[in-house]
Amino acid sequence: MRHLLHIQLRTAEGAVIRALGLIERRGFRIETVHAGEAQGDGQAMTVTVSGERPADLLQRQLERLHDVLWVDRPDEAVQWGGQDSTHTTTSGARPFTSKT
Amino acid sequence: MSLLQQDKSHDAAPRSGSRRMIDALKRNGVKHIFGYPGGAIMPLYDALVDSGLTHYLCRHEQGAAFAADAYGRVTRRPGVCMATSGPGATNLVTGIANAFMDSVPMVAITGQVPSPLQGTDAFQEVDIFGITLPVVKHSYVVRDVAEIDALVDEAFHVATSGRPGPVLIDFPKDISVELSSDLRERPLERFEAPEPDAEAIRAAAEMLATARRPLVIGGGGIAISDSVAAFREFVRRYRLPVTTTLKAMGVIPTDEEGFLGMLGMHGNEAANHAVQNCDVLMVVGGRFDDRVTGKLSHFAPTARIIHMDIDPAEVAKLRRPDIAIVGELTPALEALERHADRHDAAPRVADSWARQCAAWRKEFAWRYDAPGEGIYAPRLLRDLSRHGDQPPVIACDVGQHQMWVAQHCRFTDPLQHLTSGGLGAMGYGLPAAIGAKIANPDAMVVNVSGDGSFMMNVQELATLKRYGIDVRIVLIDNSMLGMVRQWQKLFFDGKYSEVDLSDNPDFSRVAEAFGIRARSIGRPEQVDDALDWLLGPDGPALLHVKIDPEENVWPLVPPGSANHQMMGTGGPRQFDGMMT
Ligand SMILES: Cc1ncc(C[n+]2csc(CCOP(=O)(O)OP(=O)(O)O)c2C)c(N)n1
Repeated sequence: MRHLLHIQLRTAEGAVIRALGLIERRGFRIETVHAGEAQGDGQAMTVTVSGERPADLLQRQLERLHDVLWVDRPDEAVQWGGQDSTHTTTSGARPFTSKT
Repeated sequence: MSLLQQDKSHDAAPRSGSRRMIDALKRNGVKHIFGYPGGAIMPLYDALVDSGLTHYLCRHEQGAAFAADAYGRVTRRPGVCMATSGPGATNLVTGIANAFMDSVPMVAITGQVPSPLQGTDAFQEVDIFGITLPVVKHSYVVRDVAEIDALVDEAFHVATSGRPGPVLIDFPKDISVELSSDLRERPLERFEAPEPDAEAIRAAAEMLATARRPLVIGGGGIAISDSVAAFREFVRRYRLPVTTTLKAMGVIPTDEEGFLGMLGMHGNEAANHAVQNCDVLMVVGGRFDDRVTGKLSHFAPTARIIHMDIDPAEVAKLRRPDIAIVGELTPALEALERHADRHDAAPRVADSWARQCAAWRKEFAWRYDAPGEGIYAPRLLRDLSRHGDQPPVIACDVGQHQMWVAQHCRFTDPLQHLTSGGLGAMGYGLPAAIGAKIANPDAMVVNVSGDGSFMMNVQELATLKRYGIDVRIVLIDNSMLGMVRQWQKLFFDGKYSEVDLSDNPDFSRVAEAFGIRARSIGRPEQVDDALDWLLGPDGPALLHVKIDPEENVWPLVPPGSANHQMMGTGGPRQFDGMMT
């Protein structure tokens, strides 16, 4: 599965490499990267990744980084644990959560 | 122009980077530092003199990092460790990774070669910022003396807020000596935990109210977030059966009736059977580690899951929950109770399930009538933790003895149990005991170690001696890398490869050479007297306990198996609803 990610970073030493390193370490291949010019405080990066793991989980793992301000997946509706292949619940209930 | 450069203001008198670092540490409440000096960090050590901070010279930077880790666990404030560039910094890495895996607040400061030399393969230059990227919560290279104050404040905030973790500050030498009165602000964005989502609380309360066979797993997050009181209140009020992960031992007293023991690979069978048979499983501050779940696809196969955690990135990482409640645990547990009160929808435990759990608990209570002539380590550890009125704080190493501690020791508080859970780092125990004792001088602190693990940071005996730190040591000596030997026995056809330690040094004499009193025992009738001696009034001591090299830890879920497929047990159990 391919996913498109917009990542908004703080302008900070290591921010780009930290985010890209996380993507690979968490089980995705980086297909394309475009990092925009750092403007003041922020820098935008667009990444396409491929992998079998759920992209919403990757998004939350990226958002956990201190230098990542937000992540957007414009092509995909936000859902929780959508492609978890390890287990299917019998209830079919949609998990609720609050997001930070 | 970046925001960071906007608000330059001036400080009264010029201070060096090192002075600022020390002042900022003090402003953030630091009293104790664990570390080891060297070239690139000499200016900081210079500023340390007469600073009012107490520095403990550990005898290896790994010891300093582990001590800081335990200090952070006990105080819930960042333990601070520091080291020089290059080898000093790389020696910290295992300790930083340990803190990362177990979500422990830590600030690690490393000296770095002067900025103009960075990137030239200078003497003792390593890219510690790069090396540690995957094992820190966050990290900095100090680039401007004017930003040190704000940067350190931010580092402490990041290390402690939300899900805690280690933060690295790499400190180039030129900046540490630069004098300046400039101050540069950094806009500090404070982390605010989300309020528990009302809809999730309602759904979780309803799920618990309609459950018949509910079960709660207490995880490490309960101690980290200081939610022990709320957790106890919640599970006691509704008489919910409870099991815990390794890191959460003590979130309810291990003697308490509703407690089924630890679950997972070396868990109690009662706990594992309960998980495999429950219908609603509430996981509080846990992360579904593979040592906990066994074969994931077979974990809690009949249960709907409620997952509470402060970290949204833990939700649906391994097991998709039916309901996720993201936020601080105490407010979430309180909100659940309030909802239950208001709607007259208390969590329900069917009588038959309560009886079944009680029956399993009784059936699988640990037994101490082991055959054999020698000292039975589980029994000794049980007695150790029941020696005084209060269980001691036990800092463990890694291996069989670590699992025996979790299985057999009594805990009335999770901070009585310090263990390298996520990383499983041998050598953690002794320096961790040092950090714990400094953080909590009134506690009786015992390091339980194995003959393999002990040698990994044995040099810290010198730290004990120098500062008169009152740590007691129980060294369980099976002349083997016991846990590895057990796996070779069970899963590699009994072919032993590099696990023999029968030529161990004489541990009593080793301790005595460091000036620590010591005693060796090998027969069961010596145990009572030896524990009195060890835990008596006379300060640091090492009790060397010889045990059978072939002793195993039971039960055991083989890697890749489901939790009900335990070895060394009576086989799987199914709740048939017939318990009356
Ligand atoms: C730093 C490190 N190296 C290797 C291991 C792998 N390992 C896990 S348990 C173990 C044996 C531990 O032996 P010992 O400390 O004597 O404890 P025992 O199992 O005999 O109780 C080893 C080598 C580890 N966990 N940590």
